[in-house]
Formats: sequence, structure tokens, C-alpha cells
Amino acid sequence: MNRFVAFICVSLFPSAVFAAEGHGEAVGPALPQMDVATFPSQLFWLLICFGALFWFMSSVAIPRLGKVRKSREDTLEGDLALARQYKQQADDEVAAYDALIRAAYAEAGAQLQAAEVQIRANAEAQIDAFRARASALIEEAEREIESMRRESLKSIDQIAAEVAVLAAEKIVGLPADIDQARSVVQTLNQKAA
Amino acid sequence: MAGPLHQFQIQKIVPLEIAGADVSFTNSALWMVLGLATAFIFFGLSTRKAGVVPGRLQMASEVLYEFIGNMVRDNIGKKGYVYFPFIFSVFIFILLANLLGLIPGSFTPTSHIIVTAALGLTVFAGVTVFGLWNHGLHFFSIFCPPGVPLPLKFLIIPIEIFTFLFKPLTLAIRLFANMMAGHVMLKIFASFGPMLITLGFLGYAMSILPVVTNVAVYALELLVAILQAYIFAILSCIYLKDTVELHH
Repeated sequence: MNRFVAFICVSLFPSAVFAAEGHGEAVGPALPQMDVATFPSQLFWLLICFGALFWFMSSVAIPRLGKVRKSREDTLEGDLALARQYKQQADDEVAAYDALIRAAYAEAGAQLQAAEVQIRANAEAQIDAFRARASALIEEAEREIESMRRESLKSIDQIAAEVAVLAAEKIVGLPADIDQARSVVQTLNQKAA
Repeated sequence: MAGPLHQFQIQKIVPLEIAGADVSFTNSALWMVLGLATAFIFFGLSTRKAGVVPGRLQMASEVLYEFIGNMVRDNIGKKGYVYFPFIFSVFIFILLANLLGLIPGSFTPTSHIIVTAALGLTVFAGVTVFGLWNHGLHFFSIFCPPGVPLPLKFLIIPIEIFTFLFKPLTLAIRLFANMMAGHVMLKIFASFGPMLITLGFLGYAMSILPVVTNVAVYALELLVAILQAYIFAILSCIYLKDTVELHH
């Protein structure tokens, strides 16, 4: 409300002054602008004032404003450049990290593969060794069986000869020669073979 | 009571004479000096501790700087920057003369044709001198737009010369007439008030009408004061464009 009253008062003030100003009659031409006598003074003071303003503007105000605007532009540009630089750095870091991760994956893969190859080779070598050992054992066992068979065949000949001698004595009552019997058995064996 | 033209009366404050010419310090000179002082104080203070982050005052002067800077760049081009201090000074000078002139009881230096004519002729002289300086005699080709058939040239060239010579006159009269008309209008409306009061009670009551009208006129005059400074500056730019590059 106070503000409104103040606004009204300020608004009305010009009218009051415009209405009141200027007592005493004008001298010179009807239009004061056409009073040539005032021209030198107006031109003189215009030259001084406009000259001073032009000097002030061109040598003080404009350079100062231009400088501050330039420095603002530079600051903004510098900040942006710094931001770009930081972004570049961050991008580089990310790229390096990615490369590192990729390298680690690759290495892990290679190691896995190497380990697999190694394991396979070990297993094959062990299987081969086992097979060799097993066949050696089997061979030996076979040999042993063979020799035992031979031994037992020999004993069977002896037993057959002895049985023949004893049988001849008991059944026929003839004393028989053991060596003769053995040679007969051998002859029979050879015939069988 | 004084007539509406009385406010334009030049009154001597300090009589002064140099080489036989009357260069007295008058009310017109006083308000020019006050405008100058306002510009000194405003631009001096606002740029004194100019920082990258501007304060309010600095922001205001930077807005003016950018406004006129854009005007010069848009209308003359990059090469027009040499005219920037002049256009800026002209704009600020006319703006402050017009605005300070609206202070009741003050004086408007730009309401005098001799002042606006001097400013207009300065622009005209600048256009002619810099135009001849930059383009030599080729500058006169501005009177002959390209692509005009020969018979038409006899018509166009006199018109163009006529237009060129009238440029300072139109600059001067536009500003002077606007300022003078505005102040006369303010004065006439203001003097309706006292006139109505003498008519008795009804007049007394009705005297509020011219006062209210004057408030609106005053607002309009504020707009005109700023607009005329802008128009003078932008027309100066357009005229000075010919000195930088010929043909449109």
C-alpha cells in the first residue's frame, strides 16, 4: 500500500513540475530551437561533452569491458579444455583397464589350455606306463606258467614210467627196468607230439 | 503560466566568450555535462573492479556493451568494429540526454535541432570520409545500384544522391522532433490540470484526468527516449556499412 502511494506521488510529480515551471516570458524567436544566437554555445559544449565521452568510452570503458569479457571467455575455454583433458585421462584409464582385463582373460585362457594339454599328456603317459608294466607282468606270468607246465610234464613222464614199472610188477609179476619204461614213455610222448 | 515551448529556452548560467563567440555555460550545457558525468560514474564504477563473475552494475554495463556490439556486428560486419566506440558513445550520449531530459525541471539537449544536426552531420562526415578513404572514388558507386538498366540509371542516380544527402537531415530531425514533441505533449497535458482547477469544483475533480494521462505519456516518453537512441545508433551503423563494403 505504501509502495502504491509512493508510486502515485512519484507519477504525479512530473505533471506538477511541468505545469509549474517557467515563469517570465520567453525572449527571441517563437521556437527556441531556431535561436541562432545559442548555436555556438550548444555546439561548443556538445563538442566538449561528446569528445570527452568518446575519449572515455574508447580508452577506458570499452577496453576494460573488452578485457573482462575476453578473460571470461578465456576462463570458460580454459575450464572446458581442462574438463576435456580430464575426460581424456579418464577414457585412457578405462581403455587401459579394459586392455588389462582382456590380457588377463587371454592369459588365463592360455594357462587353462596349457594345463589341459599337460594333464592329458600326463594321463596318457601314465596309461602307457601302466600298459607296459601290465604287459611285462603278463609276459612273465605266461613264461612262468610255461616253465611250470614243462616241469609238470617232465614229472608226469617220470610218474608214468614209475606207474608202468609198478603196474608191470603187480599185474604181470615181471620185474621191469625203470629206464626202459622211461624211454618207452619218451617214445610215446614223441609219437604223440 | 509559460507556454509549452518555454521549456526549450536556452538559459545562460555562466556567460562565457571565446574568440568573440558566445559559448556560455547554459542549461543545455549543464545537462550535457550531467549526462557525461552519469556515463563516467556508471561506466567508471561498473568496470573499476570488473571480474570474471560480474556484479549487478558490471552486468548492466556489459549488457549495453554486448547490445551495441551485436548491433555493430549484425549491421556492419566484423570490419565494423573500428566504429564500435563511436556508435557506443553516440548511443550512450543520446540515451543519457533523452533520459535525463525526462527528469522534471531538467533540460533535454537532444530536443534542439542544432545538437542532433551536429550528431547527424558527424555520422554523415564519417560515412563520406571513411567511404572515400577505404574505397577511393569507387565509393560513389553507392549511387548506382548494380543491375539497373541504363535508362533507369538517369532516374535512380539522382534519387540515390538525394537520399544520401538527406541522411543526416533525417537523422537530426527524427531525434529532435521526437524529443521536442514528447516534451510539448507532457507540458500541454500538465497545463490542463491548473486550467481545469480554475473552472470550479467540477473542474477540480476532473483535473485528475490530465494527470493520469500524463503518467501514461511519461511512460511512453521513456520508451521513446530509449528507442530514439537505439534508432540513431542503428541507422548510423547502416549508413557506415557502405564505408566497409559496397553493394548490399
